[in-house]
Amino acid sequence: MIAFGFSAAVLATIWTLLTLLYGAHLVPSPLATLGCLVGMVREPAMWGHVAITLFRGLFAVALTLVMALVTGLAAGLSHRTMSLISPLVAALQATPPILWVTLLMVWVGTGSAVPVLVVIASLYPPLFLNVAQGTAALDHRLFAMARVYRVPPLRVLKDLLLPGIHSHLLGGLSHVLASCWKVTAVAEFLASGQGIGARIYWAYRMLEMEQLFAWAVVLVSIGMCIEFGLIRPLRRAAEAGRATSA
Amino acid sequence: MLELRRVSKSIRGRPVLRDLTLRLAKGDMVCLTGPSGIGKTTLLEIAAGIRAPDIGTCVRGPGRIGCALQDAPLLPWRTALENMDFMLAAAVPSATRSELARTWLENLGLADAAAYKPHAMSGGMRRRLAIAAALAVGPDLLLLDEPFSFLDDHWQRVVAQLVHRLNQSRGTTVLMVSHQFEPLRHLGAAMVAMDPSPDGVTLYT
Repeated sequence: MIAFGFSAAVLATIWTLLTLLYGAHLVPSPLATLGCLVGMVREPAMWGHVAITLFRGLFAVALTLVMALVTGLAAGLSHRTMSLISPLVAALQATPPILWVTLLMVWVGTGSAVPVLVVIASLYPPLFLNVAQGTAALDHRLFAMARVYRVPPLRVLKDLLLPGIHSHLLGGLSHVLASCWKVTAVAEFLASGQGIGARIYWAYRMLEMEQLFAWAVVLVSIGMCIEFGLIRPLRRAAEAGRATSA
Repeated sequence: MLELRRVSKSIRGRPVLRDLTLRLAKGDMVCLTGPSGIGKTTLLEIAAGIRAPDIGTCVRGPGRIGCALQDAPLLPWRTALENMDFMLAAAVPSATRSELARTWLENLGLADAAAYKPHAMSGGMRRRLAIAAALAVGPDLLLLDEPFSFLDDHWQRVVAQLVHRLNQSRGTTVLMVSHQFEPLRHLGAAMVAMDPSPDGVTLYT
């Protein structure tokens, strides 16, 4: 709690100094921003935009997770597949989200498709690699024993593969969750009429600085909720998993 | 029940087995001995189907295989009982699996360790757990790699008796690798010595 109070105080001080330096028309004061935010919170429209952004981000993460699990497990089980596709994955990882946004705007137009697909395109390669490396690192003699005892594939998945890559997966998932809403907001900024990113774009176009700052507060708050509510517990679980399996 | 015909195998470029033939009929009990590095474990792994021979064939009769490798691979994130349940999943119907698993843990002195994960168990306990699973499936072919190492005299005798009983009651074919001869006296297994020779390995019965 002390850490939160201290950080908030530092932020408010710098913010106020910037307001004094540049004037309230460029940097609205924390109080004016708060007033605008309170006004926004009372309107259902704001919650609609927040819900759209969250839905796009989480829906994309869910799809990414399923794709990464299916392909990552398959690739990790075969050394040849891993070595064959690793340059492709490296190329995909090196592709910046902005390139996907541009291409997808041309291909699929605007709406939810662009943010969702951009998140998948940006976050699938690292998560895939995570799952594949976790699978490849498993003791191959365990698979040999499962074959000798003819253990059914579903049991191999449930008892061997998933627990085996558990800590790898949680680490990758925490990275994906941390990035997904940022990528979503950028994609919305450029390619959507709805969502937090789109609202930031309109506030910028209209030079509604109070609204711009209020949306920034919303965006950062959501990020912090995800960080403290989801990502840190996931990382702790991943580290605990590594400690017990070592 | 098990036939390796003119099997050759190299591991990382080093020839381990060359033109080796071994035949076990149903109910045979054979113990391989010989200097370390001669390919006993490789032979056992080929028999289990874990490794494929480079040349030659390995034919197994129908039925279940029980297999306990030297450094028994176990699921590190599952308890002893859950490991048993995993390995028995195909061989034993789920209704009776848990009871059978507990019985075999008890047979090998692991009743109190049922809830332990492998890292909390000693080398000897892990070894006995792997043997318990290999015996519990009711194997038609039993493959054991150094089943007596890490075990004290008492457990060596118990394991030998359990293997003997399985061989007598089910006609289980047993192929094992062992350096310890004392427990084998309870078994009446045929000894096959593997000796290096210019042509690879010679088998002496």
